Amino acid sequence: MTIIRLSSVDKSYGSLKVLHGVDAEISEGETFAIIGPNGAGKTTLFKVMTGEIGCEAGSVEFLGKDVTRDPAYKRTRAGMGRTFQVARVFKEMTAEENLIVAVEARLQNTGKSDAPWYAVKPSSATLDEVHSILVRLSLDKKARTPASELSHGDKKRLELGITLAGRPKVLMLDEPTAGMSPSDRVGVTELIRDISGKGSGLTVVMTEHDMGVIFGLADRIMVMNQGRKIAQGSIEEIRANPVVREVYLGKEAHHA
Amino acid sequence: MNRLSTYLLVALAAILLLLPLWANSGLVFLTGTTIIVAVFALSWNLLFGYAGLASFGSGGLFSIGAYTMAVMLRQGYEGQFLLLIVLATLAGGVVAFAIGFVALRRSTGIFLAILTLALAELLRITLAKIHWLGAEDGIPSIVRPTFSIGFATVDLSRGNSYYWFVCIACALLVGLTWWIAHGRFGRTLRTIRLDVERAAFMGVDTHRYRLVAFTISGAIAACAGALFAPWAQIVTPDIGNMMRSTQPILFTLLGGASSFWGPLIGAFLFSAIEFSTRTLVGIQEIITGGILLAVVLMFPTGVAGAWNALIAGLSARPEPAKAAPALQPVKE
Repeated sequence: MTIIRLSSVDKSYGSLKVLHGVDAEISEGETFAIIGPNGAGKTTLFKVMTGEIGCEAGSVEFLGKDVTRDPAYKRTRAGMGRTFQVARVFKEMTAEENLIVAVEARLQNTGKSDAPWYAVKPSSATLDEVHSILVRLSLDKKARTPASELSHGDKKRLELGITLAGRPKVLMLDEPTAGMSPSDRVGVTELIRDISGKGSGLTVVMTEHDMGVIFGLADRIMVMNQGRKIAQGSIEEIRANPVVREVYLGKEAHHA
Repeated sequence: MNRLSTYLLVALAAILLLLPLWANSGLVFLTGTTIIVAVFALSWNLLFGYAGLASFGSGGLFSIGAYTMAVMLRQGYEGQFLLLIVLATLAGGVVAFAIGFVALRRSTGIFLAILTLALAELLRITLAKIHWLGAEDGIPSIVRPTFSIGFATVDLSRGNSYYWFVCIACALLVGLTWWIAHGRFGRTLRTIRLDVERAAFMGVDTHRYRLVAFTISGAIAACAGALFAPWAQIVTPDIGNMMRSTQPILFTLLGGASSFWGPLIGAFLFSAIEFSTRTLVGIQEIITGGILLAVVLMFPTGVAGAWNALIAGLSARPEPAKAAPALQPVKE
């Protein structure tokens, strides 16, 4: 089943056209990677999908419903969860508080808030859930550390936790390992694989620069160049595609 | 909040309650005014410190509450005084909602600041032209009401009874504001101030939250204004002038925006400075301004921030590890 469908999406920044009629279909349960050289339009496409920005033409369908005009919060409520290229967490809050507000937001949005209206503290069920997320992210020792004091890798993990707290159907990851050390990179790749493993039913859409991460995670890859989709297919198909080799993998392929 | 701060708060409350027993009427009047504007400042910081919205026109909402109360008392509704407070509060809430509904979708930041400033000035100028509301002279001789609450009659016109009424009403308002700021709603507001886009991507309707915060803040500001009218016993258009709108900003700067109690601390410090320099005609403003400047430069987090840092420094001991992390939703 198709979970996200993009139909001939156009987007310009002023006179600069960055997306030219991009089509894409993402199936439920797969890990779908968008790659391409700098300026290819990956992040813009990502933003159009999540509702961070609008598009001039074309449409975005999510779960069979046209969400082109829906703001970000509505898409999030419908089941899209995202992270940012540079991890965005609530810096003044502790790791634990970051997750509390995220869990509470989901409970509120789904009308399942279990805390009485007069309650000041979060419910014990909320705290339990927060704790289990912290354990899953290996952040339980840093629960009371202000997010601003977390390492880069831990911030990325925490942000992933905020997104997971929303129990998304689609996990949208914008360069999940950008700026990470090689060891952090391996850790996060494993974490994503663990989260999106078979049986989880979770769909993952990601942009990424690191080919190792992509080849380790993706089921299907879409290659963009200069605002256009130039190829799409499995890892093997993309590796074998001569056009892709030329514009994107060129150097790496020769070195390999 | 740590234990020492709690004791200080209780001590301050006790001093305020017992003040009329020993202080002269001038000091009592100044203190009552300070209590009311402290609540007014808290309502402003609910917007600024929690929702991240800076209004420069909060004086207008204070004015709406004060005028609503003054007019209703003049019309002879003093018997329904408690209802009048509710009515004035609602009036502020409705006006704030209308402004927020139009303004917040398009403008935050500096645009909101200028827009609210302009609207408050517009209100002040309009009030000064309405003869039914006394134009420039305002509404004088406002009575301190006597009303019945079923089993008893409350007479606020005698002695210091209205002072104590203000104390109780403001304590309730502080409690209400504390509850709003520290519950789920307040936590969500903080996420909006810290990163509005990240909050939206948690599924938070950030515009709606800001609008609700704007409305609540306006309602509390109007409530403070409503309490002020019988206290000052006169309202004029200048009750909501730019000086009024600036008050909560200065108090918050002095006390600290990152703490819930900051604006309240700032209000009392400000009054104390003004009171102790009242005889120094001509240099009073220089001293007040100098102290404000010094605090802002030396303690960017205000007096409350400096105080918390001091407490944290004094009690810095390694904490025993805890199995499950306890909760501390808002930094105090």
